[in-house]
Amino acid sequence: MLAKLWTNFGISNVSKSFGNYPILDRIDLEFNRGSFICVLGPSGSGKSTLLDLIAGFERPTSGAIRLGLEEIRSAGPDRVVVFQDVSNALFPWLTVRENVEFGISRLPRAERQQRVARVLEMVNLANHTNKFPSELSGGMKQRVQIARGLAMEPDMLLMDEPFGALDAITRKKLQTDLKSLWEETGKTIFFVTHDIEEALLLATEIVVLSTGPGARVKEWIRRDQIPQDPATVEYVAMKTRLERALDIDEDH
Amino acid sequence: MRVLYAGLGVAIVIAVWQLMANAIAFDMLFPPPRVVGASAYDMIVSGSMTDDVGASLWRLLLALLIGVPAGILIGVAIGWWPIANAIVQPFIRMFNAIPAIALVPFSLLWLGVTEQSRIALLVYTITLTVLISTRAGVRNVSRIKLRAGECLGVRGPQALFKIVLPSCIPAIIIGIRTAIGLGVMVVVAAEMLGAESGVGYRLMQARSQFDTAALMASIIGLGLLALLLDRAFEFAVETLLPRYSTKRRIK
Repeated sequence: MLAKLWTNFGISNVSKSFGNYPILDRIDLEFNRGSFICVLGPSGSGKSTLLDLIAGFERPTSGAIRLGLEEIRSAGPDRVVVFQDVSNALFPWLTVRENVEFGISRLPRAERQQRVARVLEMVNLANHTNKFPSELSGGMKQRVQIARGLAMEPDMLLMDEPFGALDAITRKKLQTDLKSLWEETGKTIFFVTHDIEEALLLATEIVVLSTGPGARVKEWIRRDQIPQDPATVEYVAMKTRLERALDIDEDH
Repeated sequence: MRVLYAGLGVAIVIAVWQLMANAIAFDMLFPPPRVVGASAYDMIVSGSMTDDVGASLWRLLLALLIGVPAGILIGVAIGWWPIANAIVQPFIRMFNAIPAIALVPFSLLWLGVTEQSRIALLVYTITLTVLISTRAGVRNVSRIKLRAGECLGVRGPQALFKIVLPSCIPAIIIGIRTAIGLGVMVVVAAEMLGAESGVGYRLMQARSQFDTAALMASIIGLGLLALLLDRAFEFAVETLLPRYSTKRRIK
């Protein structure tokens, strides 16, 4: 178990290749605990691979990822992943409640129930606890997955394009809800997306990866540089800057 | 409404059958529905039909009792361990192509004209069928589920029991259902070789006496048995394992 006392999260000179095929090339980033990090990048830029490395599903070919001083070597309940493919991520034979309880079954009954009730309340699913995933809409399923992650009381939520498969209205709603959830809990969130407006709405840190193979950090926009009000020149300028950074043709 | 359509189907089949019998006009070779009905009635009243069906059913259930757990166990083992799978895979392919009937000579040589010999053929078919379906179910468990499990502190043998097994229950159910269908076929074939009871035995008896009506009645009885077993199994799954019911899943 990694110490829960870390204050910064560092990706130091991380490269990853599969066989001879380079995916990530010397990624070097550092964030404070409690950051909302959005990673943007064109398809195939290795965003999800970076997330897999942080989750501990994969090990870097070189470099290291650390929480505080401790290096991440395997997956663990302190870093819960919210997958885009929610239908496969949930357990269809379990109800909403049982899905959320899945990782905390060893807790004493009272504490477990209390935690389940609290996280389901947080994601507005308190009235659907006994339904099966197949009875829920895509957006509700994604809420269950987020609640299941929160129930672990992780240090970090790793979200891999979690709203990518949802319709625009549901996505908007979940984005706002996630933002308040983050404000409420202060969790560190590592969020992979290809939606610039989503990143601008949510992030305190925005990282843009270049086109692969061998993706590198192309832009790294810090907390105080991200404009909050969409009706400003700064916002539009930032959006244009990110669009340019994401433009696949510009590099070549 | 469904019952009505089903009834309509039966009526059409009987009508066509009657028409064919009229055209052939040789009751001995192609008995019309009325004659077969009378024969079936006699067999039911005399109790021979229930005895035969009961004997076949008993053999089938006994074989299921051995073959299903064996198939699940082996299927999970080779689905879970890639090395075991690599070793066993070609043999499964091979045996899957060898019908139980082809093994009859060996079963007679090794076990003789005995009950064990017939049960062995059934167990072979059932185990193999359940095994193949279970193995596929285990190997098809999505990597995302296992990774989600890791994030939730469930890995290794725990993941096998808490994620893999429940995930492949629908595949196991399909395997058992297929095995029951194949089992009905094999039990009859096995009973044709020196059994003293069962539907297969009855068929051989009727053939030697040139009793085509009894032959036809037995075949229909066999079909009904298969249908009934399938429905009973479906009902049992719906009742005992509603979480894995395919009906709810489709919704």
